[in-house]
Amino acid sequence: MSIDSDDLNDLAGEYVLGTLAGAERVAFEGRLGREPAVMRAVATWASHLQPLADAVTPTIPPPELWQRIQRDLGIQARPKMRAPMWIAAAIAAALIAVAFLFPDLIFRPEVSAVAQLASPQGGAPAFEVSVLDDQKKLLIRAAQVSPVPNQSYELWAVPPQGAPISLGVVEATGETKRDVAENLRPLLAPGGTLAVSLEQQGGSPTGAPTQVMFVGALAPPPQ
Amino acid sequence: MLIACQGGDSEAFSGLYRLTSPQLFGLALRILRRRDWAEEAVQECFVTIWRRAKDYRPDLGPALPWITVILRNKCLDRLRREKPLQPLDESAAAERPDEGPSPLEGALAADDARRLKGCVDQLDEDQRKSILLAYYEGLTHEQLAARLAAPLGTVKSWIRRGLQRLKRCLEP
Repeated sequence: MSIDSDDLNDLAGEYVLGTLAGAERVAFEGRLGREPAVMRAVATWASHLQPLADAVTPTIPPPELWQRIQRDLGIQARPKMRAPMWIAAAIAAALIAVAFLFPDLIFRPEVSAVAQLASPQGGAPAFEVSVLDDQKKLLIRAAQVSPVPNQSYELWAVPPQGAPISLGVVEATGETKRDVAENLRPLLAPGGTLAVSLEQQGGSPTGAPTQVMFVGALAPPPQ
Repeated sequence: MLIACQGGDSEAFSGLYRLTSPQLFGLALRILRRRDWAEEAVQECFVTIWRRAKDYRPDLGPALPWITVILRNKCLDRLRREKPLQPLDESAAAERPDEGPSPLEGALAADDARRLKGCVDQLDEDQRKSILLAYYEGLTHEQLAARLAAPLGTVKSWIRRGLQRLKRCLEP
């Protein structure tokens, strides 16, 4: 490795850590926009230090924050389709017809929030959690997750402050249904955070998550 | 998801926010220790992500580290801007909730986290402490020297040597 690239790695490390300051930082950021080798060095350090960021307890930001971001950018993430009245009426009529034929399709338990739990490093969601019946029940679907022999996955509610609270062990395949204790229901509103950890068989021995594998925020169900 | 944002997909952007904002907000709170500042840092971070999504290069690595660098830079900008008004005094430091030396000691243990923790543990005490303080509290070389009661040059070399050792450990 040349002296130049050693020096570049030092600078990139200090840039990502944040100790590169003042004129040095400005000069380095200028190079970052132009030189592929600088971009690569920064990307490498960013990946190296990412576990430090992942290790912090997640906290749900207040809902207004997303509205402020949308306002700053002038975007609307969920454009409301305004269907003409007759289409709405036709759909309503069709739904009533279907309800007579297949009541299960229509009178499903009401979903109040859903969360896709994925690795903080990215990738497809591993579990999908639906909150049902006024937060009294959970339906947990294993999506992209590999069962680990002699270990269990455990679901946790992560309150804005304080330690995660167990919602029980979940199956690594198929669906798990779970009743929710009354005192935990407020944690399952949209905006709440859920996590799944990998534990010894049967669940965490300590009452705290051992290895957090997947995290996700509860959001209102798609309309 | 970030790739879809490059094409101006606001649904993907909303999904990215839902997925990543709790972790980013947690990190901003940890660094800034003020809710209003942390909210602003996350806000500025996502505004930048949307506007600069085209700068993200998937061939260089995953998106989350790229986003984390943006967020931490927003936090550091804020700290450095406010520094003259809010001198970091030791009494304020003493009142902070004690979260231990590093959240890395805590629960998360994905493979790469375990690897990084192993490498961080191999550093000298001074190197480890100064790197973790810089990361989680956004301290400059000068602030680190004051906090650790060590000469500036010494602190600079702890950081530099510590980072070099980390790199050798992570990229054998």
